[in-house]
Amino acid sequence: MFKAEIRSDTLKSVVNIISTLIDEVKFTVDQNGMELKAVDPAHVAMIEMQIKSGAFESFSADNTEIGVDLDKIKDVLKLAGASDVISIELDEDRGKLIFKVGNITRRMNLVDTSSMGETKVPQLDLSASVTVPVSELQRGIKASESISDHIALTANEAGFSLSCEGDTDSVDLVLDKSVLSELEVKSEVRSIFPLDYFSNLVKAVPSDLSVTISLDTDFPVKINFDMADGNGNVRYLLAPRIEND
Amino acid sequence: MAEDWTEKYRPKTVRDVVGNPKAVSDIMEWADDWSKGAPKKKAAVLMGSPGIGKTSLALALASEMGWGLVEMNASDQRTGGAIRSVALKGSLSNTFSDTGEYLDTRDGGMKLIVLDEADNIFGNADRGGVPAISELIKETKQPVILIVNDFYDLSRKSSAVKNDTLQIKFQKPSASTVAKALRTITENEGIEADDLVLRALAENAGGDLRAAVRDLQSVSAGKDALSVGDTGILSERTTRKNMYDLMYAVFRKGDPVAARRAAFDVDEEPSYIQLWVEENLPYEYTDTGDLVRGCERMSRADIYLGRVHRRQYYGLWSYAVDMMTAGVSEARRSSPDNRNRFRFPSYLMKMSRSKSVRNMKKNVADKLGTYLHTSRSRIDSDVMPSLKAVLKNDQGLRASMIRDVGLEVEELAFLLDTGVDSPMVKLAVKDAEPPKAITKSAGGTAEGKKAEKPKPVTGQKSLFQF
Repeated sequence: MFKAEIRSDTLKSVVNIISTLIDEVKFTVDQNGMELKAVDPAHVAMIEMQIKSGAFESFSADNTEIGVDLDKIKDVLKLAGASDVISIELDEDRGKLIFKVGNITRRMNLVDTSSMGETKVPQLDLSASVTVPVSELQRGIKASESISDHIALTANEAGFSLSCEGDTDSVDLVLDKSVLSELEVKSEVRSIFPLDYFSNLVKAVPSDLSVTISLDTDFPVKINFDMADGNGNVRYLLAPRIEND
Repeated sequence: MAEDWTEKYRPKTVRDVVGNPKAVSDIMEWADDWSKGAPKKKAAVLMGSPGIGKTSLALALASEMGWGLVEMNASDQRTGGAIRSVALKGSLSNTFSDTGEYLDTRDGGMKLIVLDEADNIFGNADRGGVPAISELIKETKQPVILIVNDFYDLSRKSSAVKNDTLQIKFQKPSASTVAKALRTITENEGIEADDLVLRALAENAGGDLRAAVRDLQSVSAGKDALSVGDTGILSERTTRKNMYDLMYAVFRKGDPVAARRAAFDVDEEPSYIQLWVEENLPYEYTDTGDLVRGCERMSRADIYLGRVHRRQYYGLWSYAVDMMTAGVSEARRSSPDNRNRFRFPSYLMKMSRSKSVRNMKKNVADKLGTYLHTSRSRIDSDVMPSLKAVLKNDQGLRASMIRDVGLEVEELAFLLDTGVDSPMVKLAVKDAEPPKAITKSAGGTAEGKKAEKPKPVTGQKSLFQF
């Protein structure tokens, strides 16, 4: 059993964040909320997301799994205004998920989850961590996009920087520690990541949020943030680019 | 429905892969090289006919080495964009596996990228797929395996596939190897099966292990014992034998009447029978006298077939068939001593092998023909040879072939006798692209755009409209 109501802008940011990685996903639902773990088709990034029932306007559910095609939910979202409330109900007998936006009812087939295994998320020990306003990252991304297809993240005692080096041009975004609400660094750390993954995620995060970036040298980055007034939590892992020896 | 046995009994480890010890050791060696740092050939091609364990080996390799796995098969969309966004991107970064591990290449944690049925990437649905594969092979920092049935077809389109890959051939397993594998399954499933039954299933599948397993599952559905009679429902895979039966009746039985009768049982056109008899005649009739008589009968048969064609009178077919069966059979004076296998018509083999080349030629000729107001055969005989020579030395003309004549990249590569990823072709494609910056700044209005881009092909065609 699953029946819930959610504001369309909350659902939209949830969908946008997941769909940077993957289109068909499996949510694991219980009475306290829902959870998702997924890895992208190229096995370069992972996402772990928890949405507590408090993020919904109303929520009642038993333990179940729901497989959805996010492209279809995007279609539903196009029908709703930002403050509209969308009601979602699972029809287990027919294997359908029913969305109601105002007087429109959209029924969609569930995606078969039997072939989707249980994804596990690795525990990583990362030495540095910084908390940065997303809007700053978004500016940095905007400046980098035409330069190269990869981006270096660096954290040291002075602050956090994002740098992008192309064949001819380069761009740096330096965030002094005064701009950062948190900075924990033992020694300087630096890793290089594929820009498109990083930028797609950063663009999908609502720009009034701050994210905590955990980093190490030549190691994955973890981006952690709360959304929906603390009722949703996202952990995003991105593997570094392989550098030539 | 019960679980698919072809999945259930897919080999879990490299050692479980049936047959092909050389291929298995080659691929293991390659994988070990990867653990020590990137080898020279970063991509391997597994080639061989369907159903003999190529995909199974790739999957088993990934799990045995503890590597992550990114697989793209024919059911995925495989445009250039899709291959770049999944396979190529995956190949440049480290990996998270499904089992929740972070795999770092410095510690030997690789990600195996498998492109299954890579020779089936073509046409509009997979536009740009082949150049993307070439890019992947050159740039990858992770092991890549391409799986193909027809290596020639893919390697012709891409020099990277031809030159920068480790090529590993898969042989069809013998019938007894297949029967042994089937035996493992029946034992596991608790089915009593006679050796003869498994042998028959194995032989029937003609080296296709997957087909044999499928057949086994279908004949044993709901049974716990198999007898010889149970295989009777599998007649479909045996139709080809009829042609070999006919050859036996014609060449070795020594009974013209039986040979003629056998031809009735073969549901094939006389021209097809003719190819078979022609192919096998010189191998069967080693005695000169026999051969001369046999050839005379065949030439008579050919005259009849020619008349059928010219007069569209199919009544003559039966004379033609009589000549090539009973006639050829009767031509033998010496006693048959040949025990070799009958041959499949080499003409048909050559034609089917050259099919894609001939198609390519035809398409190019059609496009050039429209442009030059010339027939396909004229293009083929008069234009192509000199055009090929000129194209090799004229970059402007190469670009114009794409821009004005509308040749596809593959077609230009064919004319130049290179792969689609050769520098000459790439440059031509680049030059053929309309100069974007100029059209943008100059062509604000629709008129401006029209002036920028004359379309010679349609312009020429319009002459006919007057």
